[in-house]
Amino acid sequence: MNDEKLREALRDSLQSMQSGDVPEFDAMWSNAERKHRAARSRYQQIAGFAGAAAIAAVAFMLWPLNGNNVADIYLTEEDLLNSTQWIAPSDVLLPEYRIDIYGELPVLIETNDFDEGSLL
Amino acid sequence: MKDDDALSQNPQVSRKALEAIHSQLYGWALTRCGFDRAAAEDLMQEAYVAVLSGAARFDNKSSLKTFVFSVVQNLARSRFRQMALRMRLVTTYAAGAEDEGLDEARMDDKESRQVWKAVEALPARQRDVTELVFCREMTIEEASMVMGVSVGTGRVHYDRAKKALADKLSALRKAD
Repeated sequence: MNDEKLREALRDSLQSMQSGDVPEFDAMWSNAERKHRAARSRYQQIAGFAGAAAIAAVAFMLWPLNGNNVADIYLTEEDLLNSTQWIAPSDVLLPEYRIDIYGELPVLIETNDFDEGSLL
Repeated sequence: MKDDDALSQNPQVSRKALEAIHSQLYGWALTRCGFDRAAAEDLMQEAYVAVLSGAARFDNKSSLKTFVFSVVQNLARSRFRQMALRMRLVTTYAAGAEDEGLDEARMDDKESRQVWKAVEALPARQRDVTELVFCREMTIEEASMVMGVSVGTGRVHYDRAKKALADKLSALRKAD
């Protein structure tokens, strides 16, 4: 069977299989346009809601900044120092925790008097 | 050149050009849906919506016919795959039952059905390339584009389909 005969047989076969009227283009096109418009307006509504929700969320997050009590929002230096603690790694070498390594300082003599020509 | 009725989301496509290939596209949609007219109409409408919205964009790299055929093919693949399969099964079953009661006047119709059954028995891509090249007047290159395969692969499917069909149809004629 050559190509031409095969083509003919297939075309005849397909034509008989899909017998019946082709639906009108205009009707199908206007349905598609209607569907497209509906989808677009739905999309715009969803985008509108999403935008409004995003704006509301940002406004909610920024709301405290509008108040006057800045100290409630920002951490002060004092708060920061009170909230942190640091222990030197070398503390393990101390005989006991928080020992006063300097102890009592010796009281040195303070005088401007000279003794045999030199400052005491 | 831009037509007066060019689509806003798809400026290379005009309503008039689509109307010119509407019936061919309907035929293609019908075979995608196992000859179920309602499903084919739905599929075509979806394709037109995709073209209208720009979800499927024509960039003039192929002919408009190739482009729209591939839109229908892709939609059919993604949305109607299972449905089409079920319909094909139903159609096959229904056709089998109907064949038993065929009278002499419908022998031509029966022969046509047998020919198409032979096409439907081919693997999916061989079936598609057969329909596109033999019945929809496309080249193998265009058919490959519609099917989303390389030209080489399309050619292989075409050759195999042609050989298988020629054998089956010869056997059918001998049997008659």
